[in-house]
Amino acid sequence: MKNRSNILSHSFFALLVIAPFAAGIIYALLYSFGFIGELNQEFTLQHWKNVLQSAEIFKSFFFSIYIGITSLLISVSIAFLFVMKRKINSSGWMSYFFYLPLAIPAMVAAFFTFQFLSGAGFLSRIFFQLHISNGIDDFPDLVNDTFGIGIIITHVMLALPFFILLFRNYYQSEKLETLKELSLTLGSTSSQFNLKILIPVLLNKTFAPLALYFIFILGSYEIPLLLGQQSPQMISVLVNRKLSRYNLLDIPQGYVIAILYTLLVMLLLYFFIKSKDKSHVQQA
Amino acid sequence: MTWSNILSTAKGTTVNLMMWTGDAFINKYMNDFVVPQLKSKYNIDLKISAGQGNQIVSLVMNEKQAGKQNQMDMCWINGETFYQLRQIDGLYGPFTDQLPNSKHIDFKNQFINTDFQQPINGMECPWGNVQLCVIYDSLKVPSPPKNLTELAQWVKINPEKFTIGIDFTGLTVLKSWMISIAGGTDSLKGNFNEEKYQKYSKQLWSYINNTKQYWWKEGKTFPNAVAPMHQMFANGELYFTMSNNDGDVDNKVLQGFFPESSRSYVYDGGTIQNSHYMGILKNAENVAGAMVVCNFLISKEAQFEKMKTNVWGDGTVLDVTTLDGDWQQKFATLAARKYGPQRSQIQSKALPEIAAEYMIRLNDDFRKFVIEK
Repeated sequence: MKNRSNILSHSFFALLVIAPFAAGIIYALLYSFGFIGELNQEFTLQHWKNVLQSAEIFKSFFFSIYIGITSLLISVSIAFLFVMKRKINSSGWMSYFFYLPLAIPAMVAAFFTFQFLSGAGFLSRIFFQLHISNGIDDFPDLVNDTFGIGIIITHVMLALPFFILLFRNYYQSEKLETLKELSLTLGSTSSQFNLKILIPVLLNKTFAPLALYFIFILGSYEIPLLLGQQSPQMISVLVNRKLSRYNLLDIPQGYVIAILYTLLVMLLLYFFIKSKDKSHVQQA
Repeated sequence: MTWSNILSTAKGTTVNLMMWTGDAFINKYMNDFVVPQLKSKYNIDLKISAGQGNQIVSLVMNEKQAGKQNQMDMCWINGETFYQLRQIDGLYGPFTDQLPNSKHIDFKNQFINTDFQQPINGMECPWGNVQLCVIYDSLKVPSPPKNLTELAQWVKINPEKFTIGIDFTGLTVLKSWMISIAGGTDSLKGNFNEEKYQKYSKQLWSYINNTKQYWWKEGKTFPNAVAPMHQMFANGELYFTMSNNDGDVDNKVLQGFFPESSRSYVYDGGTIQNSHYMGILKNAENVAGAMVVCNFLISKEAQFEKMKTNVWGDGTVLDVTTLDGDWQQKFATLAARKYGPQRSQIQSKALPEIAAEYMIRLNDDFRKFVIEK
């Protein structure tokens, strides 16, 4: 009986999640090799060659990974600081301030950053009024900039409350407060406790959500669309450009990039799962 | 099918139109004038959904591949979309001859009968006619640069205050500049010419690359649409913006979006004048309804309303001399532009659109030779 319900739930999962995804990949593959598509004539490797020979795609992958790692590093580091200082009370009315950013759509957050940090934005105007800057030209480039500062700030803004709440919950469930008291009694310092116990325990426990959040940032679209530069562009923006710009012959290239991105994500997931299994074995 | 048959078939039906909905005035004209008029005159429900160029083409391509009828009956298009829809055989037609109001369309005008060097041949219905204009703030720029040489000098003295978008409007600027570099009006006339393209585009990229360090953000990035350019112009970050509609500056000042010191002009070398059109999709469910809508949109009432500066300010496609005396007078007495140039002043500087392949190549190569350089 249990076996039957297991089979049923697995089939349901396959039908609902895997089948549409697999169908999409197959469609993209067929399109990229010229088997289908309104303007495709016959089997060709040309679209793959064009993509793999262009520096644009590699720049885009590196830029996306850079944005993902930097955003994650900053938000995780700040979240750790909050948890270490134990300044967050995740209940009561103050908690709404931490839940609020979780409910903000990416596009709204990006727009907010643009209005706040652009040359003629709110911050620039305050700086001008306070005579810190001499005007728009004097204000640093924080949006549509080379280093993706606006994109990173927005991702950090959206991710930070999530990580604070996540770490805070594990801090409580893993009884880290008790462990801290114990370690202090045994003569360790706060810093030693943070470095040797708190950070490793929390990182180990939250590895999966951190990895998934990294993949989520990697594939983000609205934020880099509004706050990014024209080159390099993050993967999703690049794919959409290839799929929807004036040159219809670029469409198969969009599918090639989408396939490469999917492969990258699957590869990352594979390594994440593998390293997770390894750490479980070591713990056992 | 006779026109009365078309009218009776269309009666009581719904027509789905896909169009760009990025301008509040245009949306208001459609929702407050066109939609109710179609309902009261023809009992047609016009449903408008947002989408433009590439989205329309993608939708049609996907539906065609799936062997389905189009969700949309008609769409608002311009040259590059016309070219793409023709490439995939996505348009219904020819149909304009069947529209009674088409007898007033100025089909002799090359800016109306030819779209990106392609004769329209009844496959799309002209709706409006516009010319690219450069908008500037006359308080900040008392004497705007009139040609590329003056522009290069101006940006050196005023760094970070000029840029172009990488959208349709920006590409229209690039085309205007390339025609100017190539020697003027007829220099790139006719089909796409690889040799000419290579020669003149190289000069164009060289010009831009030599000056872009003085452009907005040192030419490292470019706005991806005209809306952010307008916004940056309104808040003073840019001293110039551009519009494909020569009546846009009046419209935007009236909206209170641009300062009253805003003016617009065209370069001495000219700017592109083109028309925008309504197309009916080949697998549309309601071809009759779409034809009635097109016919209404080119009626003198609808064209007159659309041309009012405080409504949209879009140029008419009608040959006003074919209308009766009262209507001729009405069109003649439409409020003159206060902030932008009169059409008669810039008509001599109107450049015809060049073949669609030029735009596709410029779009790709601008990225390759300027943005990624």
